[in-house]
Amino acid sequence: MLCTTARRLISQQMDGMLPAEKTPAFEEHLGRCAACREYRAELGLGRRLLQATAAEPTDAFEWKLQLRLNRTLQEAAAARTVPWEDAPHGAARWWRGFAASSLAGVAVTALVAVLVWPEGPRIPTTSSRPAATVAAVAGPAATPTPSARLVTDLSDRLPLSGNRVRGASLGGGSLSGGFLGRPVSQGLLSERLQPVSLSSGKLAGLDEIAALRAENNRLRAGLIGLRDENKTLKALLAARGIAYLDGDSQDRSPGR
Amino acid sequence: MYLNDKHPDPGRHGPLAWTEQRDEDLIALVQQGQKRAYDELVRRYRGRLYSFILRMVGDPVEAEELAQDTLIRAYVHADKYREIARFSTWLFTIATNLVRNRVRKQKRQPRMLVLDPAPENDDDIPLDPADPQADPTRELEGRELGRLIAEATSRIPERYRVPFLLREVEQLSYEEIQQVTGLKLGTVRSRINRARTRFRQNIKPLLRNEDLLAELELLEARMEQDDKDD
Repeated sequence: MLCTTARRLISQQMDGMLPAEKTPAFEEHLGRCAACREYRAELGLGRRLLQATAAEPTDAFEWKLQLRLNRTLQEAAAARTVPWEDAPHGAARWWRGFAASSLAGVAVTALVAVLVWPEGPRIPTTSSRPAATVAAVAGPAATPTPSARLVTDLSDRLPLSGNRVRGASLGGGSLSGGFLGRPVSQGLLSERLQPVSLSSGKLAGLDEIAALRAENNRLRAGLIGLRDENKTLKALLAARGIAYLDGDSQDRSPGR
Repeated sequence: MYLNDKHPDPGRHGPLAWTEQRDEDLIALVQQGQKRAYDELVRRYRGRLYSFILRMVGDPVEAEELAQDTLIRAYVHADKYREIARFSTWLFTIATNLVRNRVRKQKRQPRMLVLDPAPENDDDIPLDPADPQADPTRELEGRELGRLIAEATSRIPERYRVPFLLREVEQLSYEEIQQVTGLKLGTVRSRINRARTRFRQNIKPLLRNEDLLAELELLEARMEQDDKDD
């Protein structure tokens, strides 16, 4: 028997797997081969060294295990309480995508509505006003200057502060006043205008909304003009000592 | 570990105490919800798993984590164990798969080599009182021997090391190693043989060191005493 064969069989002998038919030849070889005997002794020693030097974990091993096991069990329990986690991957992903796109659609619609819809209370229609006052404001308000139109167009989309500046002449026309509750940069104005132009003609009913908004702006400008004119008239009447009916106080002043 | 476990110790009510139960009986009790049986399995296998994994990955922290991962999986998936194999075979199959995954991941993401990791803070330094009976010199020698053997083991290629350690340390049979590794029986045999030859070459210089051999005898005597105490 060759030493290479004998050494392979030494390994099998160590594991109790040496075939019986090979045992006599193997033993005979070991009896006369000191190198193979030494080889066998060294393999045995190697096994003893491995078994004797087994490392031990730290004392913290068990409580760390306990913590991690608790966490794993809690996570597993939490995962079971979410019904769609159990659904097949494809279906779950589809439902999530559907929900996300629906939410996004609703959000965009709401945003467009907020930007386009005019704020503030509706002004009564012209038919309910005295013919004289309508005639007084109809001319200038119907044709505001470009700058005045810009301001009035924006006025309904900015927060109403109640701090309107009246009497300020914009563009030289009789139309005066506007929103101007707080300073707004031109950049911000153009930003806020953008969604209107983007949405025009794309959403159903947008033309109607735009027409209503224009009408609202026109009426608002008229009202502001009337208030200013009213103020001027009140001052004139007061200066001449003529009594008049004050709409705000429901009282006659100055005295008769 | 589970101090408020409702299930009583079978030693008080049945014929066998936890320590006398077979592994397979204990895992059957775990399947029925008896967590104390799991504690006993942890006690039996924590050292064996840790030692096996440490010799595979070489990092004590990682070895501890992987040993814990193995035991956690055994608990979570206890219902999947069937007694067609020994419990130890099943457990070491889990450990081997985790080690393989970790080794594969490490190959993709090579790490920085830390030569002498110091504790990050004082809390990491163990505060165990010194054993008056212990001989510090012996302790150091024991650690040194362990380090040399660990180094010699780490130089065996991983594919040979797994069946080698399962056979030499865990004393699994060839068939069980076949189940754990998924290798053919002949491959298991030849890999164990090659690993033994390689390991012998690696430890050859140590085998001529009489001090270390004396240390080995001392360690074996301690192990024998520990077994008797258990």
